[in-house]
Amino acid sequence: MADNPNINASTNAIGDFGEGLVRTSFSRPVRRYFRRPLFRVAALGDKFPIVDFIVEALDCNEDSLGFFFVQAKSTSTAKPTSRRLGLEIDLEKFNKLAATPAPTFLVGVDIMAEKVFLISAPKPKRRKFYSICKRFDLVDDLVRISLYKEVVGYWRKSKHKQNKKKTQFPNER
Amino acid sequence: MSAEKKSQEQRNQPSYLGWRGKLLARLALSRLPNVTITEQPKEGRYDFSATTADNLTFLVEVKTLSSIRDGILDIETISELRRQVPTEFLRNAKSTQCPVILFLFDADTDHGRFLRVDNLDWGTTSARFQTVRFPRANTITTQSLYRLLLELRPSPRSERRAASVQRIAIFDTNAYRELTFGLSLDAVRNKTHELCRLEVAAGWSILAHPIVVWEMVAHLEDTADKAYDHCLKALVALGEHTASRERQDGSINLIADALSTVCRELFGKLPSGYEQGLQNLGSFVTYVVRNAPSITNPVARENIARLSRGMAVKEESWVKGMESVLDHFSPEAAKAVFGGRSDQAALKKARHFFGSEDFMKAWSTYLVISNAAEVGVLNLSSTDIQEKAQVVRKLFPVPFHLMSALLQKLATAQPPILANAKKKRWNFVWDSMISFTLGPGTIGGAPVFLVTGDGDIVDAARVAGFQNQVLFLNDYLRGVGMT
Repeated sequence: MADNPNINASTNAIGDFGEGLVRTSFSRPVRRYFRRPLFRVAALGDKFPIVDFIVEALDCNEDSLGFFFVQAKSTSTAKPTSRRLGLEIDLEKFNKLAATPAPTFLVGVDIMAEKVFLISAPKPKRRKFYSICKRFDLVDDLVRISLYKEVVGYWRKSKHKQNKKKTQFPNER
Repeated sequence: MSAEKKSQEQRNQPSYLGWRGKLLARLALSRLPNVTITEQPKEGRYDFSATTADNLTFLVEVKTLSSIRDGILDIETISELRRQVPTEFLRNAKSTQCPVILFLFDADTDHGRFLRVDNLDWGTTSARFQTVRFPRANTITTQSLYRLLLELRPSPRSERRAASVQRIAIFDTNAYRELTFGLSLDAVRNKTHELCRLEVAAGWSILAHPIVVWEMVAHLEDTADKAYDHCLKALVALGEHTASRERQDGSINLIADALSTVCRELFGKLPSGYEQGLQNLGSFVTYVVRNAPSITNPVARENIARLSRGMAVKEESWVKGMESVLDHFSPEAAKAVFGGRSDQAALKKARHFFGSEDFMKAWSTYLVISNAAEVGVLNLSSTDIQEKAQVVRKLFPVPFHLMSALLQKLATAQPPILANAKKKRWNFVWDSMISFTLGPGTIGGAPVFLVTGDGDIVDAARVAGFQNQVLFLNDYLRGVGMT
């Protein structure tokens, strides 16, 4: 779509294309050091109103080291030269995402430029916001590596705190 | 490509190539608005099918490479990417009745290119792999995919041409055998595809006759049958030739057999189980087209055996019917013809009968009564029978003249070999049943032609006044522009 801005796309087409961009952007391999994809993305569909994607951080065997939740907003009317990506963000939905006790992020998808920008959703906001910065473009290997380290670090710390043996649901004989 | 071959290929690659390639293919296809994407539509043979809002369908197979692993820099600037592809895959793509597009992605940079492969000319090499080339001009972008769709879509002129079916042709068994004589299976497919292309341009639509399928299948029961190889190729040619252009799923277009044709015309009904039987027959032919030369599937083998048994039953039924007709006229004549007795006087009497109007009336009456029983109509008055007998003779004149001529030949002291001497005496029955397609009737307004080399059918058609609807194969091929 970046090469033909005159093509009109329906809302469904934008949604499908936007979803495709998110999935391919996160899962693109990094060349530096890792030389493999760091993430695997699963779309959750309409049944999960708050979260659009669950993204796993992968080790070299494609086993999961942890995950994070992503809410995505797409736009086909972004101005290419603007420093920020204008989005219609549902504050209530964003706050519910931010309140989820796991790493959470919001991605903005510029459909026409085929770019995906990431910001974290660490805590609920009081005031509505209408754009996100374009600083963290998922096409950048360094952004994905930093994200990977952040998410993997979070779950490593969580594992130390969590004592799985203190469960109320053992498999009794 | 089969799922087994895909998994073998994938074992030699980093695992993410497989799922990333499919992600990238989905992204590419989602650039096209109003396209329905189906994953693994043909039992794993292709990765995707895509159908546009105006019902253009194409299949997509995805290949991936890793520029990181292969040490490729700036892949998007390379003028031509090359890839080894199994010849079997290309062969199958050619036989698929809709466009097949190969996507090649670099799983590490998302760079992708496409290539249409069902119309590639890769000659008749026996090499297991072919090198296909992806030019930079075929880089996957929204614009290039739109351009691809335009190329896949028939032009308005050829669409109009394809849509206006002016004539319908049915090839008999010998026409398919003559068409495929001395050719390899690959050459058979190529020739048939070329023939189909010429026929579309010339306004011909092709239907398969169930009798022709049965005749070929009968030779597939025993792999030691001398005609096995040739009949297999002829059946593949039939399947490719009669594949539906509208459905584009490999299914074939079949014409009703004689029994069903007569039942429908006389009683407005079809024999029970007819449509399912026809569907099963069509599915079987599609299976053979896709799997030849290897047709080892147990269900297919059982179908072959069942069809062969069915043929024997039909032949026996026909002989009994004809015997009863002759017996009604003269028991001695019946014994002479069907009992193999050399009573010269009785044979002469039989010949006279077979050439008379009495035979025509007797056989047409027999046809009405026997077909009525097939569709459960049991209370026909003698007036009804007579009226319907006249309808049968009017609508299907050629088989009556053909049967009259053949039976006169049979009623001699040394009858000609009208049958397969090794197996059955009454093979000529099948040719006469095919001739039910000739007559004043049309299909969708288009006249029906029979492509055959059988002199008896040609003569019978001439006597009945329908000689213009019978064509020799060479004449037909010249007519559509095939040299």
